[in-house]
Amino acid sequence: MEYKDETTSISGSWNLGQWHWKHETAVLMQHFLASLKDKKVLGLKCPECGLVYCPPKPYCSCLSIPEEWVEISDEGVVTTFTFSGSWSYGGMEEGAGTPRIIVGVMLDGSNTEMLSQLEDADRDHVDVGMRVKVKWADEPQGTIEDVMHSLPA
Amino acid sequence: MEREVAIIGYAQTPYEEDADASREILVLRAAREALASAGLSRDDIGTVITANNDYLDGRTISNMRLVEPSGACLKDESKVEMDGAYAALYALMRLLSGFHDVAMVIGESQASVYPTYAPGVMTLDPTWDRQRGLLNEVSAAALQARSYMNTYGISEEQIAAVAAKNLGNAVKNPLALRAVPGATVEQVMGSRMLCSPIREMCAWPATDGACAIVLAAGDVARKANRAAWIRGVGFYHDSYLTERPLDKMTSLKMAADKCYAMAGIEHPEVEIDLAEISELFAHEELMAYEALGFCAEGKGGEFIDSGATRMDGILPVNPSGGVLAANAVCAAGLARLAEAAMQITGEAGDHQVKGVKTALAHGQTGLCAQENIVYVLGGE
Ligand SMILES: [Zn+2]
Repeated sequence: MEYKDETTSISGSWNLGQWHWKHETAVLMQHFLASLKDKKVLGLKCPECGLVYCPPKPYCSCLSIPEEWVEISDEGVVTTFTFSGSWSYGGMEEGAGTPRIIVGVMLDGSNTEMLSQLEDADRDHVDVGMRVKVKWADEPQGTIEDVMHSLPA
Repeated sequence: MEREVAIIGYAQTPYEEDADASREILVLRAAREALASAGLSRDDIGTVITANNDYLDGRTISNMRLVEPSGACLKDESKVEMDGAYAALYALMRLLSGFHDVAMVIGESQASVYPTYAPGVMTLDPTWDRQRGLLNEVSAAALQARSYMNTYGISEEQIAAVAAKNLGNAVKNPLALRAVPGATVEQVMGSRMLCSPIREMCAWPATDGACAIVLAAGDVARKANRAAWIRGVGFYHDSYLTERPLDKMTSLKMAADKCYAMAGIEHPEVEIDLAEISELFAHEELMAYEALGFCAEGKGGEFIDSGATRMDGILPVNPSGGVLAANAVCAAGLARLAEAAMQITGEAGDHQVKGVKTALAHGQTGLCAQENIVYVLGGE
């Protein structure tokens, strides 16, 4: 339609970075992230159903409050994966760099999946059931980045 | 149900890439046409429920300019910020309350005015997944597809067969946006890969459009021009996508079981004549076959291979072309309901399937079909 481009705009931007989320996850996350500096991955266990959440979450689907910290492994199993190349579709642009291997990983001791980007892996050998481990930096910084990448175990 | 409720009117705008009208006018066209098909006027409407979404529209209170074009001015009006099949649920409940006899239900969106796949990212957990940049509408669907394929040994060709069937069916639906005459599995397999195993022809197309239905209860329904009776409904919500198995649609299965119990259906594969399913991505239709009990768990691939769900099969699925042929977000599930009703009343035109007495319609909301709603409709 021609005239949609003529819509008058009010200058400014919708900066989503200005949004904040006030909930207990922030406190839990601080503890979780701090432990990453020691290359330790923590999960939060529900006292009622026993589910271990990694990353931690202050509420469980069973309506209880997970509050027990448990150390889980930095190794786990690939539950699903995708090769994401460079594409644009439906108004989205993706992968302006090298193609990525995105894997769903169930770390040993956790009941939830953590997604990560698998590196140094031959595409032909990537499969569900494959063992992987967190790719640690020499000196983890205690940020989300610390557990962004994984390697074949 | 205490009160019998039927779909007595429906309308869909043509689904387009870039409609030559504002969203308000699309809604107005659908509302007027649906009312006309029901043989009613605006005065007859008791309540209006719309389905639209603030972040898709880029403003809050996304229904505020839809009051007039939806026929809701100075009437009982509300909206759901979910798929239109949930707006129909809300309207159904309003009618079952006994306070209204006629409800107008409308869903709409205009993908041409915003990057339609981008808002999926906004539904991710803001404290974790949104910051990590790995998940989006397509990669999440890809992880779901791979998980399903791996657990049950489903092939990429079996997934492509869904797209070939639906895009081929869409040729007979004059309102469809994406129709591919004689679509083949090879053609789908040759389409561009987005995130493996999701190919472009297996992913929903950015769509402008609106759908409206008129629901009526009691005497109004019995005296109507036509009626597709709501025999059952079920809806369940699953947990966030990293906290549930992605290889099956548990909430859809539970929704279907609830709906079947209400509708008195014991053998869905035999008793249901036709289904309109919200397959945002082709593999989801195979997963839905299983969750809806059309075939056994893990047998979705064999079921499509058998030809059962073709237009001339024993249980045609998506003769309209489904969501792969047109997905006006917030209208898609409502359109499934309209299409299922059209099949019951014999008004589906070129994509009419003969002898449809019981039809199923499915809507979903959320990444990897987090929540699902199922209706069963019946004729007289
Ligand atoms: Zn629990």
